[in-house]
Amino acid sequence: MNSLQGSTRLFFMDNLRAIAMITGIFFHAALAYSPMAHSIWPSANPQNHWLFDLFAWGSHLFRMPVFFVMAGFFCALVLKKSGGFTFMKNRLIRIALPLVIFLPILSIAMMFVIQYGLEQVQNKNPFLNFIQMLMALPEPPAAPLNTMHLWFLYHLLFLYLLTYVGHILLSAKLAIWFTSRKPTQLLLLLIAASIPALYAVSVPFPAPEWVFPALWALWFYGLFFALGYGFFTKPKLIEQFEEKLPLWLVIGLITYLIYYYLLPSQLFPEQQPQGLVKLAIIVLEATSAVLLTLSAVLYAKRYLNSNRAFMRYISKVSYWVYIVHLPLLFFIQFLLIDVTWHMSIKFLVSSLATLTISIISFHLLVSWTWLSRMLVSKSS
Amino acid sequence: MTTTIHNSQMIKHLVMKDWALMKKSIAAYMLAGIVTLGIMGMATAITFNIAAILMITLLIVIGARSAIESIVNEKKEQTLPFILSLPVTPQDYAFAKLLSNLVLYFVPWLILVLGMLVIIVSTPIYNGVIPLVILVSAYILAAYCCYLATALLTYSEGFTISVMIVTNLLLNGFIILIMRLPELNQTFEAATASWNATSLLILAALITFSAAILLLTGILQKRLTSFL
Repeated sequence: MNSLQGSTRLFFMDNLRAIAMITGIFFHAALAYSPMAHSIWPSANPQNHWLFDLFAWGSHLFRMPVFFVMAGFFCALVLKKSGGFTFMKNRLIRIALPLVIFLPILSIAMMFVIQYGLEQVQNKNPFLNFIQMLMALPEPPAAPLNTMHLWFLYHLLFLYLLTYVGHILLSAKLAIWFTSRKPTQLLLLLIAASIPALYAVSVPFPAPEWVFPALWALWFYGLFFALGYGFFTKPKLIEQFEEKLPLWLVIGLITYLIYYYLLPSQLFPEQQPQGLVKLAIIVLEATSAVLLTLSAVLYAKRYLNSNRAFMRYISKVSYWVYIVHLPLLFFIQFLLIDVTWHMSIKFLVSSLATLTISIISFHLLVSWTWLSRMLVSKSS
Repeated sequence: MTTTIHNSQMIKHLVMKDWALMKKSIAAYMLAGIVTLGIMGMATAITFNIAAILMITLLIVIGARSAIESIVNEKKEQTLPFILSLPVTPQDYAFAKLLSNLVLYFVPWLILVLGMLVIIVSTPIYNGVIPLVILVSAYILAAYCCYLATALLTYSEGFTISVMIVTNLLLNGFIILIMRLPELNQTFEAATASWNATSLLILAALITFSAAILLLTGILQKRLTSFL
């Protein structure tokens, strides 16, 4: 039995989840001060700076892939430990039920928050102006159904189905061939496999929020999910990268910087790169996403594999914070739009206030109620 | 079917056996279903039409393969002698087949139809086409009941395939017929689904027909005294 399949708790996974979750709040908060997202982001502030773009799009490349690596890892773990039936029951309670319960609540909450923004914000951003213009039409169009930031849960359900499909249809030989690749071969395979999926969408890759499963997202994030699954069954699959870890991190950062430099200045469809330029950007995007994700997992394994009370606590509240943070963040950022503070102060205040209120609400609404059965893992 | 209840453990085993034999196909349908939903989600006229055709094909293929694989092939591939050696009556066997086929078909059918309805409601596609989609899906379900009944009552590949061909040919006629009905086609481009006496009558007829076919199959199977 290898070290990852043993009974020892993998603290780095908990710690990595906690950090990735907190990064998510800062990522969404940063988009309000991003020049690139200014025209499309609901809580965009009049003040913006490229440093927020640099942070946001950099974390965007590896934060969600890291979540999918962890999801794949825990999928393999629960399947091995408890079998298919318990796995299905566990995922229905932990993934499907929160999606069904919270999506309508969050959609209504978001509607009220946007309404508040429309009524109270003086310096309206392009998004609010656009919504106001739509609302003024004689027959305003209905808002499209979408899964908001819960797209992660929604797509995860499809990836579980695909895991079952793969388990039945794919031969063991293919899995052995895949897991016995050398680091460079595996890297090239992952990068090459990501390119078609990323080429199908705009740059930087968007959140697949619509009510349909996005094939590109299932493909792209499915690769990381499969990597996490393989990491559990054969830890060497990812651990073999440890030897040259600083090199992979440096290459990941350099490719990101070039990628960032080539990104369009605004996220309008007409400014999207085309043809070979787009292909070059996508190659950089895929390379950076793969290398930064691997680096995040392995550096966490190296430096975060300890039982720290603070990180354990953040990990415990992380699911709830992930669910509720977005409407809360938008509301706080709407409150701050007309305030004349410096954007860095607004960024910190909105991020930290969102985190604090989310954590307080966890203790008020979740920790002592039946919701904790869904949102807090037993090990926490 | 009181006799069938006596051997529920054996029926469960037979249903599980069918599930085990069919799981590769079911996995492939699942994959095809996810890809089809994804194609529909691309939300262009071309991808929607391609996905709609794929969806109808999938609904037909799932039914046809489950009837042929789990019923007709069992006799053709000489699996029946083994079944005969089990402590199972012809009624048990027939009831298990009916149950496993209904579950194996009805669940994917329901998921795919609900998936299509969600797509229509959540996209700019006119909601007026909802009656058309439901009627065509109900027709495909009724056609499935026809060839399931044929397979269960005759165990004949020839008869079952013949019924499949006839019902699939009639599907085109059925679609043309309902698209030409003025009571229906005038509301296809409406913003909301509009049900009227004609569409409700057709739907009720299809549901009654499907239920009657299944009931008749159950009654005829109850009279079975031999596997052969």
